[in-house]
Amino acid sequence: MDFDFAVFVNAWATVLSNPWLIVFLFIGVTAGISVGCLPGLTATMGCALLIPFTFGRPPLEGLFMLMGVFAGGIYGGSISSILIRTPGTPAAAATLLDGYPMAQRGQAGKAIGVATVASFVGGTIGALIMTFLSPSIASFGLRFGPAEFFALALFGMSMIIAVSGVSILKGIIAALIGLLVTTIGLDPLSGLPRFTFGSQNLLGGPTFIPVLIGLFGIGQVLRNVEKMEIVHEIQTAVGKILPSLKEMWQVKLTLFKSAVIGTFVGAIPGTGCDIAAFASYVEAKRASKTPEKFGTGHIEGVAASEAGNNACVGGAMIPMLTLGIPGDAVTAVLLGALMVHNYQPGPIFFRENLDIVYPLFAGMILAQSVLLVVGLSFARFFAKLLTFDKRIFTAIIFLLCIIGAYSMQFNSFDVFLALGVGIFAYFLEYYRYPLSPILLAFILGPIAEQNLRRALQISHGDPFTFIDPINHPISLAFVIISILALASMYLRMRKTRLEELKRERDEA
Amino acid sequence: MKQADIVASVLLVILSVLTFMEAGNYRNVGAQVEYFGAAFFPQLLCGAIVFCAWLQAVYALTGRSLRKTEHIDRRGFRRMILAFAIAVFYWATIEWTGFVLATPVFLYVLMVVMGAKGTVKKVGSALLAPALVWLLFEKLLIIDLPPGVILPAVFGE
Repeated sequence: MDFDFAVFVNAWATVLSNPWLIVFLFIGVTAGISVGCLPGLTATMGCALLIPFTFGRPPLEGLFMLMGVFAGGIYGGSISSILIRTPGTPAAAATLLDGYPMAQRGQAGKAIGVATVASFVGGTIGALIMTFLSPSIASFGLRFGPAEFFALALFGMSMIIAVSGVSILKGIIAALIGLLVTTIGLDPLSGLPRFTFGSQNLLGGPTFIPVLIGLFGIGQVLRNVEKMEIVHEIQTAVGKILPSLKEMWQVKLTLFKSAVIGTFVGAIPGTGCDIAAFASYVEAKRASKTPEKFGTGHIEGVAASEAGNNACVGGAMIPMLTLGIPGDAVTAVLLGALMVHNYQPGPIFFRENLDIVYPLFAGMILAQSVLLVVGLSFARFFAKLLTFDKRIFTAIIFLLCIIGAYSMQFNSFDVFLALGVGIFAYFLEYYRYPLSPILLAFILGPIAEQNLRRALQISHGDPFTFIDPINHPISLAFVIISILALASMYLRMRKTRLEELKRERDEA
Repeated sequence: MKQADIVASVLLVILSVLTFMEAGNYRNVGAQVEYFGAAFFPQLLCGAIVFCAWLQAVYALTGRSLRKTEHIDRRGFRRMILAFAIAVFYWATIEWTGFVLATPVFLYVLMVVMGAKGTVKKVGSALLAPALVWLLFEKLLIIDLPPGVILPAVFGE
């Protein structure tokens, strides 16, 4: 299953000949930048809120919109980072290091312009790498059996547990709760109803969209409502936006290098765009002849972090499309959106749905150009959004969450489910249990359960089948990487925690 | 977060034990016991949760729980609970009141609870947002929003 250039050209023809696809991409990017630039609203929340708008439309239109939200959301975070020193999304945290000092010098417009162009370059390179690399990874995935798929699900979850919180243990508990929730409903292998207690609403298990909206929409809204008084009214001045060609040319190498780093960091399940941005920023600083300028309002710093985090968008799509393992929470939502449209991403999806896969590649590349146009044309408008009254905005978002949960099955049970999950998520976050492992477990739970049971049945109950180096070397590799990732992160966290405890004791 | 971790651990153990027992009912298919049947995965998870909860409780008791990084603001918490209750009430009554009548009231009350300023802005947003949502869902996406019984009774279907 190599990259098929003829199918790729056909996909471009399909995309460019359908104006609705462009319109949905445009809507997605604009909505993504809007949610991204508002602190408290994330790309995940944007996708969760917009999924209901994809019902009843052809799958490609909906997926284009959600990809637009993803790309726009990651870029949008840079606007508030630069203007008010508050990253709209975690991915934009590295951008504020140089973006905000530039704004303080009266160069906010230029910083936004550099961020936009860097996002475009990084995003395009990331999308191209995704396009050319994905078919090979998918063919590799075709060799997987039940043991490998279970090990892969374990790997995906362990990676997100390792990076999503401050405690490995709390991450594991969150993932286990998510997995347990997926066992509600009909058993996928025997058809036996489990934990339904006679309720028809639970036969199919908790519906994905209401759970998603509850976790990332209502949970966040409730937090915003609680912290409402902390929100300040903001005045923003942008100024000249377009950076000069000379300025961008000077950072061309940084852009390219950051894009490559961002894509590969993004392709590792669990890492996410914030890590991609910081990795790119650190490398740019290390390689720079003037590292002392970083952190003082240096164009190269903004360019590196923005190229890195937007390249990560393409990278994160690779494991989701080819292996069915989402790279982060947003790709988990995209995977859910594909499942809503009756597609199960993975190697077989890749082989049998070329009419969807290749247009998705084209759409991801096109999304970057739309981002460039929308970003540069409406930067002032997005900056103005920051001054909008959050109290009114939050109320409207709350309404959209409720209607979004309802619109999947026109069922009030789903609304109450979303509200229940929302309040649960609010308390989980307060007590520092990460939410991303729950979402990933919710997606990967059925894959993990079915393949675990199949593999054990095939091996007559031998639990060592997953680490059998002769018959299942790929599975063994995934298990080893999972253990190493968790162990190394545990040791790092333990060290930090011990330092923290020592400080606490000294203070006492 | 010592206390919170201990309470969470106890709750997790209780939940896991109950779930484990309930899952035991799915072990048999007819007269045959299935070792890797419908009960296997949930029972495995329950075992893992109990182990993690025990570990968390041990961490808490030995003073190794995470430090609280934020505190719930009492006024903010009350406001959040109120907003949540309003949302539950809004959807619990929507079958009678209907989307068109209930939503502007819901939004306006929510904005007041959140302390939004400016009556014109609040009323305008409370009317405009539901109108846009209604148009989008009913006309563009052809998704029916709850009509309620009041408006159909007054104006007919």
